[in-house]
Amino acid sequence: MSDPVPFLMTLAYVAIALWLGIRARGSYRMDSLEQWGVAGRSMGPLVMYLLMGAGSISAYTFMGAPGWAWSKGVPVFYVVIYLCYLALIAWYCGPRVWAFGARLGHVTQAQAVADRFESPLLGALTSLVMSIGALAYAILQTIGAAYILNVMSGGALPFALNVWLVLGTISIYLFISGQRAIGVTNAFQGGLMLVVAWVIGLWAAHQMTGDWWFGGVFERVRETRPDFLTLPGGLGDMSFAFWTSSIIVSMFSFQQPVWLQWMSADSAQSIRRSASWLPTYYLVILPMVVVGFIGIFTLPNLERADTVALELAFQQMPSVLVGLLGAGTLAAAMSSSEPYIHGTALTWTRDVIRPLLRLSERRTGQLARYMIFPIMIGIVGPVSMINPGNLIMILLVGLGFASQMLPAFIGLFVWPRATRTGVLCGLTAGFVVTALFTVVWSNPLGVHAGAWGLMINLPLFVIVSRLTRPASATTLARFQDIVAPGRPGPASTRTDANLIADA
Amino acid sequence: MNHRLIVPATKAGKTMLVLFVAVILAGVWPVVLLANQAALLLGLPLIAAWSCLIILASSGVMLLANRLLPLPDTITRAHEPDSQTQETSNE
Repeated sequence: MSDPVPFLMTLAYVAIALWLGIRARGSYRMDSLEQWGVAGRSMGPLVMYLLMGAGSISAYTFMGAPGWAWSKGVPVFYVVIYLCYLALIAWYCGPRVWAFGARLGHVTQAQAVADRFESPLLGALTSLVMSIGALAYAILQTIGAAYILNVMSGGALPFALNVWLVLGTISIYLFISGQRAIGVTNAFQGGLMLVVAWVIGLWAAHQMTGDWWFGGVFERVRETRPDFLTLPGGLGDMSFAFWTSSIIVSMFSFQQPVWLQWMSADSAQSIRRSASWLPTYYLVILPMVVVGFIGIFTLPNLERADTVALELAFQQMPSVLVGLLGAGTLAAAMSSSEPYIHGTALTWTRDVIRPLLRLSERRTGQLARYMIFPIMIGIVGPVSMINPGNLIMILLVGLGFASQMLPAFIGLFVWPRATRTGVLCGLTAGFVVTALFTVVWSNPLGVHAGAWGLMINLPLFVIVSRLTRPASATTLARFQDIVAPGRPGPASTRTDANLIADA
Repeated sequence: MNHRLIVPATKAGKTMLVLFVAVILAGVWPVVLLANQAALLLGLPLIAAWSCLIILASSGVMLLANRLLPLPDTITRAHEPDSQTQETSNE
């Protein structure tokens, strides 16, 4: 390690995150689901904005996105678009989910599904299904964080040690402060990422062109590689079908941590305010993408596309900027890993173990925070150390599987006639199709495997739901009071949420 | 119990639904074809500029919807024990 500054800055980031995470507990007791799981529903709009923004911006922004720009070009912008659409989903569903928690006492996503469909089995299945993709995602981010520490230390810290260093740090503040730690650290990480990305991107553009904007970079790309400025991109693999189906499938993936973020807000209005401005956060991706485009000219012979930003930094940037990039990338990885570990621990305890062992609410709350340790020690840590080559495949199957839960959410928010049998049939068929079209015949006709799964899942879900018995009127009324208040009613009391079409 | 699909019934609600759908359609095929040219706008590739426009449009429709469709009391006051009696809603 010739220059220790970047490594010291990266370590300083870890220390600050640890300090913030521990302090986040304050004077609250963390042995209840309400506190450890959803921070006592206390987060205001600014924290929610940074929490939702940082939680959805992973190490992909600092490694994968520049790598895609370097190897493919503009196809990388599909991420910006689907993240904006996730904000639209948050705007509509977020306040309603918050109200489920406030009025019906829900904490987890699977709890809401179990309650709505009167089926603890479906709740447990939701928990397990959603955790496949969640754990794969947490592992990917942990691998990214360990890789960053390895690079920033000049190889002095071995990869395997870094895995446990990262997980150890997260486990300390996650155990002590739960969702409050996630809120505070993600807010810090979110702010840090915004600053780092724009400083790095503008500096790199200025170094290359002499301008403090990106026009010169893209002028050169247009002259030499115009195929990088249009779909299907430089590698020719982002067809319009794949672009469109990837956006649609991604925007309807209701991840467990996102659900917990909504539950953690101090009011329904806070979710709306933060969701309304959330798309502006995703401008963080633009400067890092520009760094990838610059790499096309300055680093044409890279072995791994996702190292382009780090390689560029090490070769051309002052050590302070390299340190900032290291800290920013580590922040992105950790801010994405920790909520997925927390969410999995919470839902496994609340929705799988509790019904099986018939635990009390208090005992469940005490057990949930300890659950992070078996998850980290038994799954995330060992698999991260192995660094399996097919992890992306596992993640794709997991996310494809998660998107097959869409009927359950349709039943929660817009269609009271949806039944548990309909959801189960659709889910089973959709998963089989998604798995086949991911593993055996990858994305046929250039359409995302998850979209193929939904094409089978949704019609089956509707048909079976119409043929089977819906949930009880009492249960549906409790949910309808939140998702469609005042419905049904005489003309004088009709509201905007009333029905106008028969399903 | 009414089992039919829940959709907006007021004019404001329908208008906002149309705007939300329009923003979503702007980012996918075939509308995105309009931006699929190797041209630059404000120094950015057209697809990048289009993505920035979608960012602004997404925030814009949500901010507009905040004004036109305030949250019903049954949601904003869900944490209050007596909120179940509140049924006033524009949404």
